[in-house]
Amino acid sequence: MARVDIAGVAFVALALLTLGSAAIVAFARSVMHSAAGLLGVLCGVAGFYALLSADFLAAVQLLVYVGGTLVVFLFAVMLTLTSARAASSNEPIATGRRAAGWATIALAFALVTIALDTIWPLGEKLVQLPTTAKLGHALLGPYALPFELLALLLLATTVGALAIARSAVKVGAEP
Amino acid sequence: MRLALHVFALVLVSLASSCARDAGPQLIEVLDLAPHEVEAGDRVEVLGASFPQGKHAKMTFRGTLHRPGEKPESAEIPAEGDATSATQISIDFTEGLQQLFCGVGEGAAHTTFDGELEVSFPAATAGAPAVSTTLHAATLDVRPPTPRRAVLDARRTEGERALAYMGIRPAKTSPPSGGIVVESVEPGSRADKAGIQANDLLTSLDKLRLTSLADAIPAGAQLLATFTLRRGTSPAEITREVHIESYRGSPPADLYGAALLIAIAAAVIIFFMAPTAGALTWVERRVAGRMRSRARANEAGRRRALTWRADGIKMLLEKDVVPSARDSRLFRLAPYLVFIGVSASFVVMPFGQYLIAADLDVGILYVLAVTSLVTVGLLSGGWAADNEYSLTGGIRAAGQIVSCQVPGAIAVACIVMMTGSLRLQEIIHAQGGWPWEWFLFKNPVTFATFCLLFTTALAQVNRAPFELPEAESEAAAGYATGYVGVRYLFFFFAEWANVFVMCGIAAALFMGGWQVPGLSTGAQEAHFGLQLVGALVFLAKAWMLLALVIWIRLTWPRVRVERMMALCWKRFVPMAFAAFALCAGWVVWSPGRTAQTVMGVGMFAVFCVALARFAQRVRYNLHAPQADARLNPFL
Repeated sequence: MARVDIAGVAFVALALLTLGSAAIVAFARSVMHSAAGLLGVLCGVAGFYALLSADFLAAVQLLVYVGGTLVVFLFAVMLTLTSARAASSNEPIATGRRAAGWATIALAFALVTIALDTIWPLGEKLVQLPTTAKLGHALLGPYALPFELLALLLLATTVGALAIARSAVKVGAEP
Repeated sequence: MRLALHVFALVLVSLASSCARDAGPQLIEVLDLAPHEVEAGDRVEVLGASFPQGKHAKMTFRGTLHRPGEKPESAEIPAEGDATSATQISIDFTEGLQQLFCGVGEGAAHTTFDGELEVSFPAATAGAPAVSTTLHAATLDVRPPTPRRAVLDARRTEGERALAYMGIRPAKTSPPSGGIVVESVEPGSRADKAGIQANDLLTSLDKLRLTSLADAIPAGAQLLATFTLRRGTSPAEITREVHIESYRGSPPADLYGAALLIAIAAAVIIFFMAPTAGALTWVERRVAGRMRSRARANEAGRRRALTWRADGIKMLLEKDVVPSARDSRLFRLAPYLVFIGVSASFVVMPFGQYLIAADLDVGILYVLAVTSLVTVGLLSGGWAADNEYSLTGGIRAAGQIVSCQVPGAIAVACIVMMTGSLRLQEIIHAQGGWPWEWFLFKNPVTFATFCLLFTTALAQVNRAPFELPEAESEAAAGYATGYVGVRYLFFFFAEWANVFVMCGIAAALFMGGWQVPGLSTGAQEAHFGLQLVGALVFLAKAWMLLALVIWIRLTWPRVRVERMMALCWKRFVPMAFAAFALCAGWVVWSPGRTAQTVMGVGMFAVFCVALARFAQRVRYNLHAPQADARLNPFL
């Protein structure tokens, strides 16, 4: 069973990248380092998508989360923290460590048990087909209404953000 | 007379059914289906005997559907037809039926049905059982609507891989009646052990009739691939079973492939990116030397080509200084992020039909996605250097890139909408070799879209007049202020390469890519020399755009930062939406071929006239007494 195949190697590498970066996100002292770790996590997950032949989703994952969300994170940190404060912005808390440790162990035990007990269905997909057209048809066909609703939600968010920003500028601009 | 008999028979049946409802006597007989291969629009005839002529028949295909690479699927498909004569029922094979057999959309595949066909005529009187019979061992081979090229290619590659795995080398040509001819069988291979020989005609695999290599994908439900084949001139079909237990796991040859890919990627970076970036700086300095009377760049070397090399060597030899910033790890990471983001977009750069590292189906989207790494790199580099110039530069860079990505992406979406594909090669195929076949001159809207994309791309790669992140008068060297030596080189190497990426993508999206004028893509594909010419054509187009970038840089004053943002959000974004709507209108209108050609030629003619007028004006200015050689960029 110890066959080495490229998908397996890629999977292990991506898993290491994702978990390692996740550890950085959780344990780094500087919130900027956490953000850098988040970059690794997002890229790793995009890699998993690509490995599962969801090519469109992988590209969108990078575009939206790295190009959008992460940049907004970085902006927020830069505009609110000085580098001195950012360096120790994520100090470990002193209280409740024991409880957190027990909770972690219990959760890890539960997850490992579930992972070992579940019979995972093995993928039967052989042909790696492009997914873009299918997604497009789905979004404009059976899922047109949810899609449009989401668009409406995003529009409302944008208008709301603009309204907040505008009033803030007005308050600041008043002499 | 016959009809009367039928009616009589039906009455008899209805009488009989009052005591035994289920199994009526077999009054009709079904013998066969013809033809065995159908596609939408065809007519299928059910052959038999003593059908009630002119009556409407209900039929049910009950059995299994076999598709390439899929588990057999049991299905019950209803169909309807009319008995045209006593021996024949004809079914209109509609698209709906085709979908039921083959599946819908991308998933539609060549399908062989194997099972039974139940034919029944509704009873003439209410309450009476229908007259029905069943054809056992019915087969029907249904072809799907022509799939997209990408899908077909993917399936064919998979089929070739499957056959290669079994040790079968298929012949190039296949007989018109279908099937795959075995050219040779690798000795000792799985196929050889199973007893498949050269010149056998493989007719089916796992009960799916083979028509092309795209069908030769084992169903994979079992550890055996079952072939039927014909040998010699004998019409009898022989069955052979090939063991394929480890087919699922990719063969280890993949690992070599991956290593090869990585080697190619490294080669691209070393042998293409580096010289391109270097040559670009050289050209830029030469042009700047002429246009701005900057002497230094034109001093060293026989062709004044040594300066950039000297520069590069100097950078490499410089001492690596990491400022005593608070965040040296992030400081070190940032140049690599920028570099990775730029070099990753070379993966889908279409230098030629086959000169492309990976023709991804999400091609252009992939370019947009990996470029976002550059944003993160610039932003964190500017932050980590821990001084206000760097931070200002980093924030400006990120704000500018994120803002300009919006109209830029919409401009790209216009082209994607007009071609229906994100794949760069398909976008190139949608255009032609001649300028009037390019998207650039397709209609006035696409020309405006090109200008929009080009301008926003200038801002995204920090080029003048939008090089605000590195505006020396207000932000020193911007995000790169703290960097020296190789780290600085990484940033600027990436920036210059990024300019090339931008021009290459623009050449592919709007200027026909590698297509040589006057040659069909097929003719170009057939000859290696022509492919090379195609790559040169692509590079020439990209370099032409690069010259334009340099020219703009040297002639246009820098824009102020808040004006640049206002320009982006208040002008470019609405313009992009307008372009999108107009392009959608064009797609809906979809003018005929002639109208498109007329429009293209007209646009190109206008462009040529403008160009001629421009040349005339340059000539006039140069010949004027006391020549003031300054050119007005507005023409």
